[in-house]
Amino acid sequence: MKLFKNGYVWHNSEIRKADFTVEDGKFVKIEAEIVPSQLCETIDFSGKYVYPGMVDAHTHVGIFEECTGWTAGDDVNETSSPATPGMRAIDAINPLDPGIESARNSGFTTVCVLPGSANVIGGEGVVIKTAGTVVDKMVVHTEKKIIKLAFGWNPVWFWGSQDKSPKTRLAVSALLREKLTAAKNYMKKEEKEYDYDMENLSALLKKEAIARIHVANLEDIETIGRVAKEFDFDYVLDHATALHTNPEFAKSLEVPVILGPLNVAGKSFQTYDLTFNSVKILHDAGLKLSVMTDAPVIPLNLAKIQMWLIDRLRMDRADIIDMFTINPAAVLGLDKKIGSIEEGKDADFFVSTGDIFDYTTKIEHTYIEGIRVGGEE
Amino acid sequence: MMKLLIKNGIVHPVTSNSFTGDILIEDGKIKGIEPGICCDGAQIIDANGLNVYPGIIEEHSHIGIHGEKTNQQSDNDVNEWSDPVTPECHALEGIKPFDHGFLDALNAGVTTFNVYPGSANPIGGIGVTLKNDPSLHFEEKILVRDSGLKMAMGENPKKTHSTISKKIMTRMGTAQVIRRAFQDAINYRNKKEKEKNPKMEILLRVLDGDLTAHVHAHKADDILTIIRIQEEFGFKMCLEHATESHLIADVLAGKNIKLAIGPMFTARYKIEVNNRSLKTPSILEKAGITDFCLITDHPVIPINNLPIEASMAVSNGLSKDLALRSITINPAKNLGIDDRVGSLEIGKDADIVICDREVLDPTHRVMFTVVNGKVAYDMEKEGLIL
Repeated sequence: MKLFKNGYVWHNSEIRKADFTVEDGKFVKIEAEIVPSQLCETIDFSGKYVYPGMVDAHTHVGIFEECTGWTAGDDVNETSSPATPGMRAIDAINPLDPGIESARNSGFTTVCVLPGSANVIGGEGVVIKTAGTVVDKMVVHTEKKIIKLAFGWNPVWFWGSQDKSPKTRLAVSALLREKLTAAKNYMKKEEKEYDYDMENLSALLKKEAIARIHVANLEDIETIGRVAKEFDFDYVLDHATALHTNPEFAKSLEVPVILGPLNVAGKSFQTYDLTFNSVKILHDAGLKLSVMTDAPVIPLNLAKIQMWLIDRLRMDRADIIDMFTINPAAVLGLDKKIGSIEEGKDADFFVSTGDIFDYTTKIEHTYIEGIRVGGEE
Repeated sequence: MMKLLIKNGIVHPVTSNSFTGDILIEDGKIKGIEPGICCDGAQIIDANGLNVYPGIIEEHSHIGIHGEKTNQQSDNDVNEWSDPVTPECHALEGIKPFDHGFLDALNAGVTTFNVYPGSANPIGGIGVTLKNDPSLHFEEKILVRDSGLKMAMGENPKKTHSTISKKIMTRMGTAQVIRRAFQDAINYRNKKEKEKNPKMEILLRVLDGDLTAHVHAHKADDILTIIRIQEEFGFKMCLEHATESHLIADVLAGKNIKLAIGPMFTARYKIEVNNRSLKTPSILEKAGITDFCLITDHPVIPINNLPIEASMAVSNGLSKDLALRSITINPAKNLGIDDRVGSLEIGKDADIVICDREVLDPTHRVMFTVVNGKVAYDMEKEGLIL
């Protein structure tokens, strides 16, 4: 049993002085004061701030490695075909990617690693804790499989520029419909050979998987809604760059939304509507939002810049912290396990010299399941 | 006569001590800067509780020539990669005056920015410094028509020309392309009878010290190579990016070379930025180098991240004073425009940014951007643009 004493702890959406105990990697007790016993190892956090470990539900860390040059560590898009539902991100994750080290040193303790967005059906994503040398031991089991899909410009640009299908948005949804229909037929067959692609798509149709859909433009979001209704599967909108242009429509979709990466420039054709203001517009419309870095698009050690820029909107800071902790945990179906400092949850947290919105604050320690795994130098 | 009075602000002139007081502006210039200025008939900005700074200056951007809000190569004019040596190309001719980057800069309090050609060519072309005054026509925005000759070392020219022109396959090739070009210029000068050659004329201006070479170089080895060449030919130089400058800070401290550091916030996506560090500015400061500026390379990272780079440098050990200088007076000095902009002083251009919190606090909001004495962005009226 470890006792962490005298810190200011982010608990129940506010910061207050509290002690907490950790045993077997879980938070046991969080109280205003806990008296140390002889069996406890006591760690003093006097003057320090303690926040729940941050969660990024949309990254490519480990499969799009930093410090390897342009292509050596890039296993994001398996572009041998525009539909590769059987691919698994876990098979390409390098736990020693410096991007994962940056993540844990900067207070991110759980990330979802997804295949890229060049393919209409990219493959299976996975959730990992950010410390370890064997990826299988870092995996966080999710109740549902995670299947990455992509709509709009990325598949159209990648495949179309090679004179292959999909060349237009028409073919993107047509390809998805074709593959999902094949999966329906596969499910009906009594005698069949095991097919990795079809198994993953069947899981989506049986709601044993959730689709994570790369999308920017409003027309693509509408198309996704149409296809999802036809085939009755659950999905999350990732990026959703133009969603704020119709907040009522956004609300009516009743699906989780992960915005970002927001701190990027060079607004392109598909990110024409990109703005930090979308966070406030959609939040005010009643959506529970998460924010992603798309790391390494924005490296995780710089995620706090997005937090600071969102703070310029002068929203409730507790809501902003939720977008980087409990909300993405909920998108992953893991909000009972991670995303806040609560009794019974994984003891994932970081310890900083001050308020996380103060730019002079340094993260001194990151803990995963009660064990120190890093911190900023 | 147009008068503007900024009242009761927390004024940070950068080149002198901060104080609470007023700034009087007449005809686009700073006329008075002290507490208690009275002026009949002036438009008044109540800056009570607000922080007032000189307009922020971006030394290295690709605003306008990159072509924002499209995905089209047809709108991207950064690199004229038909040949590795294109000194006669001018950024001015590639800039789209209505590009979204101008607005991004204005909303972030950036009142002056420099635009360079890209880094695909060892000798890429001439840059231009623009005043970000939306009330002026494009040609009137030009503050320095020829702000320097953009050059490049390292991965970019090698990657581009090993595949496109096949004229460079290694770093050795890049160095020799540069040496040959300058030697050609010397030979050209020595010729008695010649036809005028625009490429050679530009290179001679660099050799004569009339144009500064702004050299894209990330790695220490690339930095040391261009210093070797620079010392052979004796031209004025500013190192752009200088990502590994902290590894050779002692060498750089003894040289008469300027530095423009950044963008500090990209992933380590190519080998030459593997050693990117948020500590680079503080290490340079400790080595006695205090005249560097910070850059975003917009749109590589968003231009509103320029003051946030300074904030991050502070949280990694840089002094607040130098952090503020590195986005105001230092880039002005680097571009040779510090007689006009970069600090709040009587006689200087009235380029001013007013924030609700300190500009180094990344949660600040820009409330007003004033360019040439005119309010160019008013947050209350136009809304927060992020």
